[in-house]
Amino acid sequence: MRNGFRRINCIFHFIGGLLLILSLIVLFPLIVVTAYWGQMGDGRSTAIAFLATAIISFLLGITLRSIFKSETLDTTGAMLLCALGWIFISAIGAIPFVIANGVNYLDAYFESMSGFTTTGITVFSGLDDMPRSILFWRSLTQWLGGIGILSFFLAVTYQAGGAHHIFGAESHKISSGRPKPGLFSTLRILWAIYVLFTLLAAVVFVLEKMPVFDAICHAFSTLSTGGFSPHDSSIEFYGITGHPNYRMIEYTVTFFMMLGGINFLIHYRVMTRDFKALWDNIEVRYWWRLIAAFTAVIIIDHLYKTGALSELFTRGTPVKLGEFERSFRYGIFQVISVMTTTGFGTKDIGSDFFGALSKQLFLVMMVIGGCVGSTGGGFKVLRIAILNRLMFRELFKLRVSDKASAGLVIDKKIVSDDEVHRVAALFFTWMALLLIGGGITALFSNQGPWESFSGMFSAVGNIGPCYISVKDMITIHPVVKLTYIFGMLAGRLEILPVLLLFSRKAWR
Amino acid sequence: MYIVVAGGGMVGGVLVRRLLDNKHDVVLIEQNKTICDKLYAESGVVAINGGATSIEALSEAGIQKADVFVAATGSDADNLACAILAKSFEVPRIIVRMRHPAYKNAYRVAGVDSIIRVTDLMVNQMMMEIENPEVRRITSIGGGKADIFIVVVPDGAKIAGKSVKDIVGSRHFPPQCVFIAIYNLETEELSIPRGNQIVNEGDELFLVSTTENIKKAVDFLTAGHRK
Repeated sequence: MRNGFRRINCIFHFIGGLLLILSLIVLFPLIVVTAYWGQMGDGRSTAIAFLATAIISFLLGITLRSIFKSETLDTTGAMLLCALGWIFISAIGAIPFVIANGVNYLDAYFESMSGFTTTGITVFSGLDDMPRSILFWRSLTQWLGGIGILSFFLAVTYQAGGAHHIFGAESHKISSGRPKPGLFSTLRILWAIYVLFTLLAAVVFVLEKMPVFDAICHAFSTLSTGGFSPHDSSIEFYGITGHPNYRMIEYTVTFFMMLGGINFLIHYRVMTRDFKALWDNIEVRYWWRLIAAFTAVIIIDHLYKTGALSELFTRGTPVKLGEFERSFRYGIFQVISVMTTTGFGTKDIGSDFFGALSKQLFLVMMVIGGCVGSTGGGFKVLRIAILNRLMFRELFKLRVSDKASAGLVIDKKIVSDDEVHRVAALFFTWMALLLIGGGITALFSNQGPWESFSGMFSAVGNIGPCYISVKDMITIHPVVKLTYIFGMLAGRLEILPVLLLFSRKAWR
Repeated sequence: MYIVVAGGGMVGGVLVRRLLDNKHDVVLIEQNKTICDKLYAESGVVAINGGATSIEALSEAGIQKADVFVAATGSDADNLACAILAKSFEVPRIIVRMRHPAYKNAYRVAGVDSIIRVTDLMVNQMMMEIENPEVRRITSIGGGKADIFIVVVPDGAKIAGKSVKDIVGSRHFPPQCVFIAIYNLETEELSIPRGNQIVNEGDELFLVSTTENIKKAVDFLTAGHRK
């Protein structure tokens, strides 16, 4: 094995370790099982489901660790580990769904991958009557996925500057952004902020009289920008059922989703009273502007659609305050939900509430996604900023002499052409993936061209909702489900590590 | 205005930023690629990498349409050469940074409009800081022959409570010094004074004076009551 696929050894050794940790974590839902014993199908069957999963995970972990011995991991190895780690953990995490819900393994794997990649596309319905422990496990997978993504971000940027740094776009950020020297102390800081925000969100939800179980599940899937909810109707549930504080709840969820979509190093800087961090770098400036612009367009689009806008201009009837608040609340909730790639809903993005323009913009937001170093997915705001600058740079080059300096400037530093090329290549791959996935969906389902594209946009961007209804998603062809599983993983790991899996050279 | 600046060192670099802040079209010519990139990244200036003494680099920089040419490289020989080249392109105004005063005549012959010796300006500033630390100089006018400056009226000053007319009428106050404005820090009120305006403690006095009279004027304005 030494001369053949050398990296296999250490990669599977580490995966064994991850599975051992998972075997402990999967015991947590047992607390929920005990608390709700005998209600909504929680009881022996769900207890067995989680115990069995823990045992399988433990045995597999032990086996892997005894067969494969530890070695130092290089960057390529770390990439492969991440990709395989997500695949393996999702495979084990799917087991409780199979045992307790009796769904087939592909659906269970889809749901589990959707959880661990913090996507939130679901193929389960009737959530309100499901065992609570299963709902808890769904939200927990997303929360763990969030931890995974923060660690992955750090591992990647920590290596940046070395020979292999694939994610160059982040490297210049991290040189000044990393709060403290040392990988592990930084990791602890990121985790601590994540845990703190989750606790805070849960406490605020409880104060707003959300049931404690809902509050915990929603806190898990809000900060991880996952979007699983214990209710079929997501956050809209509270509005429909006439919860007394449903408006406050919707605004609070919006706020915490936004926190999840911002670079966690910025959170760290703000916590250390460096408030300039909220404005002093290009990504965060783009972030605020995009949110403001998208929300404004969506509100105007809605008011135009309902005729309130033409009333205003032709007859001078002002827009009713209640009507405006409602469209603002739905607008900003859905913009932040999609931009941060959470995917909660207070209004279905495919519903008539949103005009055609808004629906197009949602697809754009799905591609853009959150900030670098957040739990959000998507192509990342920083990279969009780089591409935008690239366009202006090319225009600038046409105007001035070819002897003039014309590097691509981000935050007053020139980004090397290597990094720009990587971002451009990544964008192309991203688009290609969307096209291929959209094509496969169109071919294997009876969805229209528009809806077919939206499914893959949602999967690769790790969003959740799309213009395909949950009902259709459950019965969609297995090939499409496999495509989306691949799309979710590729989007989460920003494509390149997943493509590495198919490169024979990378394994050596 | 369209301004071409040769040399992106301490003087050229800062000048470029200030000009850009004031919305001028600025092109920089600088030999060092690293400096070019740095200034471009930080200020967005069009920075041509090349020698300012080559006609090619100057035409790349658009010297034909320049309103002003500034030669601010570190060498008088280079400044002289590129000033002559700029003159040959009929640039309306040419300003050079002179390092060694011996070159003054050469610059005159080359047809340079203004010659600025950075060390002179610095020395003036230092003299001011040494002799009159209570004075804040705002700018020099008339090629350094006169200055606009600020004096704060100290507590217990003899002139406090007197009118501008009385102060100016005093025989100790130099006649080549004029009040421009009085700014009251507390009320944030700025007034352009006439003769009967009263000067109070803590007021900021804006004055213009010939350089050699500054010290005399300041001494008088800040003098306290003898105890």
